[in-house]
Amino acid sequence: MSVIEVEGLRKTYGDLVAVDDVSFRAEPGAIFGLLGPNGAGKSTTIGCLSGLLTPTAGSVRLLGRDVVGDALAARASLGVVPQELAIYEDLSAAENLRYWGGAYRLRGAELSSRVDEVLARIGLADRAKEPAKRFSGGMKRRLNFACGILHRPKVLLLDEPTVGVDPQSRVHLLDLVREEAEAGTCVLYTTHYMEEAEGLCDRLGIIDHGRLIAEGTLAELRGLLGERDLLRLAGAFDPDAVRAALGGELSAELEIVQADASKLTLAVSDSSRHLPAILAALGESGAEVRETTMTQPSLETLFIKLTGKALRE
Amino acid sequence: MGFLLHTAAKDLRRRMRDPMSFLMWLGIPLAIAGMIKLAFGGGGGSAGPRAEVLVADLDGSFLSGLLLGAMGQQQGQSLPFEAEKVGLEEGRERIDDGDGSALLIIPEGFGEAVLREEECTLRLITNPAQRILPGMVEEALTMLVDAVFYLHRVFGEPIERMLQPMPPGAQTFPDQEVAEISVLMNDIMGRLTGMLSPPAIELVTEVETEEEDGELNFGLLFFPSMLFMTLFFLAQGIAEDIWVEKQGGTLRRVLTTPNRAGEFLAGKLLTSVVLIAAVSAFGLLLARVAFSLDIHGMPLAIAWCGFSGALLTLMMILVQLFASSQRAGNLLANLVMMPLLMLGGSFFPFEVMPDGMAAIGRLTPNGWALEQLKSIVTGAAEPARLALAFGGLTAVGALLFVFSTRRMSGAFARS
Repeated sequence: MSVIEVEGLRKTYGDLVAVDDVSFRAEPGAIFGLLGPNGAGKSTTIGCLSGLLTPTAGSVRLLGRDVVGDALAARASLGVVPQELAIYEDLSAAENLRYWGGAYRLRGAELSSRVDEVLARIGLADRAKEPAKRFSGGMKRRLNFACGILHRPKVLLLDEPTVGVDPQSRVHLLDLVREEAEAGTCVLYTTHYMEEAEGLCDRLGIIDHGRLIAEGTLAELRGLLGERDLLRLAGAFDPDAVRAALGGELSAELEIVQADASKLTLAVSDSSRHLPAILAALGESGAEVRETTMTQPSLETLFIKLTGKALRE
Repeated sequence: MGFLLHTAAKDLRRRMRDPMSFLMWLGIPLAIAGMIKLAFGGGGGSAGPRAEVLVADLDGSFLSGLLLGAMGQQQGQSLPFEAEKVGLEEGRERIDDGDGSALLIIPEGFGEAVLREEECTLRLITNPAQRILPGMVEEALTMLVDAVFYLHRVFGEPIERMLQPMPPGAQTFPDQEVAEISVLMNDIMGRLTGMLSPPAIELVTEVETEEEDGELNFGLLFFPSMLFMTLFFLAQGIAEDIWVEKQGGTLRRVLTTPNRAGEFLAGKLLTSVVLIAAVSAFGLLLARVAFSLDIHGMPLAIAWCGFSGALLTLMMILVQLFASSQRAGNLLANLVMMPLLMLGGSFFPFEVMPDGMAAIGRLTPNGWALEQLKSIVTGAAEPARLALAFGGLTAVGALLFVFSTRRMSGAFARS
């Protein structure tokens, strides 16, 4: 049974469509990554899942409960780690955890033991009584994460939790996410870091301009790209002349992903072998190539293939 | 209910971590009270503010002398002014120069007019640069003139006979005349003794009690105002916290928990009630111990302060919720709070305000609540009216609560 069920989700703000017809499912113990550039609609999707935003159309169900119609019950099984730090800086780590644990109905001995357990997991047991304002950025991030998992949620929403985190804390946080999934929690993880998504997620959805443009396991997504490298060229191009020049015997070896007056992106099999022929064909078309970048197949290349732009553009 | 208490406990804990802002809320009204007290000369256990009255006696009669004498005798005692005899021109010049609170002109023929029971007018020219002291002089002089009038009504005949010219060629009044006046006065005194003597003693005692307790008047006048100013500052401080919650991301996180937004807001209001009730209890005890104020209905007064303080908090939260940023929220809150403090009797008690302004001030939320508090602490509150006031407060509070909850969990949290 899927614990997250999103069907035809749409969210608009006036004329602006933030999320358009997004559907996906996620199972217990799985980490589902929602990948996309800033402004793609990831946070809006998370907002609709957490009940912060009311969908314009479509439905979101958590453990079979509708987040709009049965909001409180749906939220009881939910843990949220927002992108911004959502902790009380004037309270200690233990007091923060006690408050957020209490917000999910944990009380008494159960709350106390769980607070101790989580503090030990995030490596803040020895600083439990210190006000959070004295913590480093990484420590605050870990505390922010801990506040979302204290009540052992069945569904955990993580909205870019590693933004601005030092490498050591990032590794620690990603380990914590894996531990949660291993314990059976379904994790929805949004990020714009490809390497994070590749290393962490079981399934991925690629979102751009509010639409889910691809979804599957990493292997399935790589299959969409084939084993082709991504060749990116910068210079001066005549797109029609380029299409004509590359349409001959080279057409079986490459695919034009994007072509405009200054940029040309090609998916090419065994690009190092075919590169001289490609450059020669482009030269004959009157193109002037000033820069060439070759990328091995990855989520990044898939993203470029699907959207025509790099993730961080 | 559990989350409400949980939130209130969390907020109280946060407040205790920031004692400086708490002390500031207490300190600002105390500092303002101190400044006002100094400005009005009401501090240090000394007598109340005193005015200087210049008196131009153009009559020079027995009765004008009597009036001047009465004013002179009262110097340093119950009347709030000191009289100084001056010429008319000198008096006018000094008032024009702002020297003195008022110039009293006793016109020529004043004594004759009083004896003949004809109308006569005393002119009091007040200093326009002063507002309160000349008013006090006017009140006190009205009482004094009344006293002279009644003195004449009682002893009019013997006084009139004493003022008659002596018979031609006589150096003194005839023995028979003196004896008759003496018998007449003795007769009047005999008739009045039974009525006047005990009340006269009572009167003197009452006046002295009031005079010794100048501190009491000042305290009663200003204490509830100062207390309400403190409560308003507290309410504003607690209301500002909604922006801290928003900007810290904790408000959005709360809205993803399985709790209603109203419980969270109610928790904040409970914090407000507890803090305000604690500050009120402290303030009322301080007033009782340090200023010897006779405070009635202490628990009721604390309950009223807590209840009305929560409503002020809710009102200020609503103001913050409609601001586009924390800075705008503070600006907007000050724009609302300062005029309400001014009009609502917190900076200046209604008793020293012009009547029209006081009437408007009593209609402001804090002014209305302040009047109820005054009626409670002076023991003048009627149970039925008070019950109605609590009911009204609850109804308005419920309305504000619904609006605030919707705004907080809607546009405010999501913007």
